[in-house]
Amino acid sequence: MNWTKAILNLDRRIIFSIVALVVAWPLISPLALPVVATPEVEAIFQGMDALPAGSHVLISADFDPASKPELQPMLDAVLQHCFAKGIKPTIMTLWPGGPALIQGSVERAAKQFNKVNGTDFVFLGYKPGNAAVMRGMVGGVQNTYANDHYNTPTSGIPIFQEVRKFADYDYFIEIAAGATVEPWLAYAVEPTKVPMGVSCTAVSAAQYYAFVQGKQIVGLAAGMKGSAEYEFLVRGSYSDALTSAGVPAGAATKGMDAQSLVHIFIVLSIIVANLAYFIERKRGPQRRSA
Amino acid sequence: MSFITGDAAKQRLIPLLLLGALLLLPLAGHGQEAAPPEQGEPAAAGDASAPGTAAEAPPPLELEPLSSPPAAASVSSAAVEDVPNDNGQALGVSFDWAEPAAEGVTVSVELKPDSAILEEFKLSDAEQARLDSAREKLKSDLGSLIADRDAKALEVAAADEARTAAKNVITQTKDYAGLAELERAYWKAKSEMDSLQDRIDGVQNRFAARGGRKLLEKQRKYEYLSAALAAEWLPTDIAGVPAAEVDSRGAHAPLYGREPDNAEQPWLMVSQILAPLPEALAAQAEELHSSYGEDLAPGIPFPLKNGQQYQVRLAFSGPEGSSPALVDAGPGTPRQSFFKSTLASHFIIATLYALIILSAIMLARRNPNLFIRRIAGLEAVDEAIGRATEMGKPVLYLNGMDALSELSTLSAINILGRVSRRIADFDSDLLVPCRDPVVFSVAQEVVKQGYAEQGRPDAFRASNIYFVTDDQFSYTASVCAIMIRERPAANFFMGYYYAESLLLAETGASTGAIQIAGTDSPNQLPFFITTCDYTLIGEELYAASAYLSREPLLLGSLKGQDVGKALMMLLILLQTILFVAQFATGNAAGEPWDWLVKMVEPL
Amino acid sequence: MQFLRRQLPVIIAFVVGLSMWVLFYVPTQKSLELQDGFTLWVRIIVGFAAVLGVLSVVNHHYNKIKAKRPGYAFSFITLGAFLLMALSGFIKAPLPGFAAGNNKPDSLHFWLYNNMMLPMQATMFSILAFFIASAAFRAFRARSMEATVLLVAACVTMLGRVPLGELMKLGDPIFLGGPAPIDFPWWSSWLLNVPNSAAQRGILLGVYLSQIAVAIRIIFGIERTYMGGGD
Repeated sequence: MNWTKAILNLDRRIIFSIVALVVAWPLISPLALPVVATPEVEAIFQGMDALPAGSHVLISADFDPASKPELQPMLDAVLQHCFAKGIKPTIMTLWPGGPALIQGSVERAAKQFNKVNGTDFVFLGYKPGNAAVMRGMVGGVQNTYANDHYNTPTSGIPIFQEVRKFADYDYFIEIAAGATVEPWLAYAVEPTKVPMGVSCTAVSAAQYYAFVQGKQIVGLAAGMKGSAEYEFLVRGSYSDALTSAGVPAGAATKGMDAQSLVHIFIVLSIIVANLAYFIERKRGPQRRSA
Repeated sequence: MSFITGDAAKQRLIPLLLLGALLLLPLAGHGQEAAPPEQGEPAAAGDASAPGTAAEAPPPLELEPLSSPPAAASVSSAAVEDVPNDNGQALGVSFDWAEPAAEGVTVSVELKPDSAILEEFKLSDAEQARLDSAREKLKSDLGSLIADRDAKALEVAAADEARTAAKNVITQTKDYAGLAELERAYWKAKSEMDSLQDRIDGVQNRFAARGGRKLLEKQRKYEYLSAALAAEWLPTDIAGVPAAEVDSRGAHAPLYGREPDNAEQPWLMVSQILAPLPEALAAQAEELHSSYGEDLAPGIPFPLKNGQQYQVRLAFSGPEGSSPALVDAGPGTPRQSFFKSTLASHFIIATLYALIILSAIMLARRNPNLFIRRIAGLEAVDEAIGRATEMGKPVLYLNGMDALSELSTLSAINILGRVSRRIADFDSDLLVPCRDPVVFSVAQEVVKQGYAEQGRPDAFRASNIYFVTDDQFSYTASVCAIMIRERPAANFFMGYYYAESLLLAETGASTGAIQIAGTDSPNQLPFFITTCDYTLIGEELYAASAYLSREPLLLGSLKGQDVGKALMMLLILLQTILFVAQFATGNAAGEPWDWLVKMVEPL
Repeated sequence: MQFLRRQLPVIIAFVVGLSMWVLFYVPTQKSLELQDGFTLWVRIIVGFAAVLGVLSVVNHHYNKIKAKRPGYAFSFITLGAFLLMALSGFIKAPLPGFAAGNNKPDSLHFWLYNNMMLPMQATMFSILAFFIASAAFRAFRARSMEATVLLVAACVTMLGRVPLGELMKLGDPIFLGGPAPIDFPWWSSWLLNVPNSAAQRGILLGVYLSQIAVAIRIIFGIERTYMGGGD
């Protein structure tokens, strides 16, 4: 009848189709928009970069396939950073859906950088019981994980001759899709004062800015954007190492184009909807109530 | 099973530390005495000149140069400090440099334990017999497996080297067939090695299942420790610490629960002794490896034992040409503290707040007419249920995504109890798909009771409350499907939600249901607010059960909460004023509020 | 019977609740063991409840199929998928086309996980993007002052969180070192760090205080609805 009414009562499926188009287009032909690192992500990167080679970093990758696009690039970038710098990561997960995904990331990065399982990195795998596991890690890694993901007894893994408990780690990276950040803070990080960097899904990021401000966590990488920024920082500092290891361009950086366009689309659609709403309201109250 | 100290509650109590230390102010009176009073024996702990063990043995001071060259370091006093600590497994050792330490001087702490500590590792005859038979079986099961695996491992390493070398020159040689051959050889050897390893793992697991591994560990501990005890002085986890990196007492302030006196004094904390691999065992290493698949550890750490006395000495080794200096620090006994002194303020505030709430409940018992502000979302409950009845459609109720041990889920269950009674009155259907099996069984019981109390047990249908799956998005998909198929007239989303909140609420909105959400997840609030008709924000979720029941005792606890909240606001304001005042005056030292600022600062 | 259903659970809640609270402040080995013991109990109970859950799923779908309720064909799929996933996790023997073992890459279980679970979960999560777009379109209307503030804040944050927004900088800094009037990343970061953090803290403090109050109500047996016992 008139365009304002049509817009205000737009079928959801039309919006869905436009979103699908806007996401698909830049994935097919990338725009290569520049990525700039925010201070929160740079802080995580610098914290890790300041560690000498041979330091130990604990990475708790607490996510599963649902948040793979947002968080797996972060795990990849952090692992590349560790390996390029000669830092020895220990990787674990508290999510049952995680191990298969994380194993892929770890083995890929290790292969690219020719790292040896047990001496250059450890993948501990999944352990149920969130807070209990965190408390256990503070008490001692070997008491919590008797075996690593590949069923090797942790007592025989060389890395655990150097690190025995949570406090022995020089840095802690938490990659969280759910509510594991606060328990880690309360049970492990606060008592031991190991610096902690957090990567989380964009939906939950708002919650953690308070912790950055309170200096309880070093920095925060939120969602795919945060991962893209970390990828950008690692590539900026270690481009030679990454190139010689044959690491392809980061997945998150590729996704940023799509995210840019979708955001722009949503902002535009909000503006259009509001325009229509105002015009419709001007036309008279009796119509609005109808 | 965990209520106030449950996982979630515990972590959520942490912010109260802030409030706790502040509330200490009125109790402490003076800044000088503001330290938590629960410290075991603070006088002995903090004072270096009167160490805890002074009564047992005055700290002897002996420099024992072993030979003529000059000693590595000169130290004027050394003492053991048995500060009570959380696990009772640590001893502090303090000392003073008589003259600045030379470049390259390192410090170690050595302990001489009583041989009684061996007792707990001694195998009984029966255990010994069990271990022997288990190892005999292990040996026969393993046969030549270990040797085969080791040989295969060499083969794999060689094959890996060959294929890597070939890969590096492949652009020149172009011998792809050759490379493929090498790759095949490598993977063949690798898979053979893996299958050998699998068999070894199987045998080792059977050995462990027979209890062999545990017993063997115990025996090895005994052997390591007894050999080490023969040597009298044992190395510890403090070994070869460079003089410049020696801790100060101040760095261990949490142990004291406050800033200790003499904070600058060098101070080392020992928590375990290390028993090195005994020579007798080392000689058998090869045999143990090939016959039993056992690899001996180069050393075994033993945590210090609570209540066990240890002789302590410091060993300084220095640069070339100097002899090691040994300084006796006397005996010490690790002691356990029975209260986490670091949590004193936490404890006081939690107790105080609990008392406030309990007294508010008492008051409510006497004066039941309490005013409580209107909460629109809860006023709408009847409207929503009524609409469902009119339309002949069911009501959908979700308890959130968390387990029953989370308080938000418990609150959702409590609200479900109230809502189910209204529904029984109105005679409509109630659907409760659950994500957690425990929540499912409790929800079923609660709804059943709700119907029974309204005199409608016949209307209760157990099959309407069911478990779906504990996988987040599968659950979401299932609930969305219910909304689309059954078209409930009212949707309740109570409890804690994650990323699925919008998926649920938006689907619900598209079916035209009245939606009432209540969550304490700040991240999901915006999604609910934009898509639901009413949203209970944060604490309203916890107040809802009291609000719906109108029971004076429950309402009383809300009043207590308000008092606690007002107190907290006051303290935050106070802290802000103090901070600004300190900022404005530049340095607060000597100001009347100095002690206040000192309390607040560490927060 | 009355005692078992009403009093005993309250007594258990009181004793366990209070002792967990006290144990939290006691660092001894015994205390830690007790606390771990409680967590172990929780896990054991959850383990048993899982069986209940499975029974509930099977029962629900069986009834649906029996009554031929609308959409009962999906119940066949659910039960079939449930059986397949469970069996593939138990069977160690090699299945045609797949590797042996239940916990090895290339085994049926892993294949199902990688090629069914993974994409389906990711699909569900990615629907969020579409729903956000449609929810934003419908809900973000400048109906009132508050709604307008919410709307503007949402737009600024969305633009500030993508590279494209970073290219849109306009104008000179308002004052020395400050942000330009149009500088989406700066404003979005300000929104997240200042008003957002303030509101979050306010809500969370209220939530924590309420949680303690609820815990006290439960420990002292004032709130008993969750036991199904009523008042």
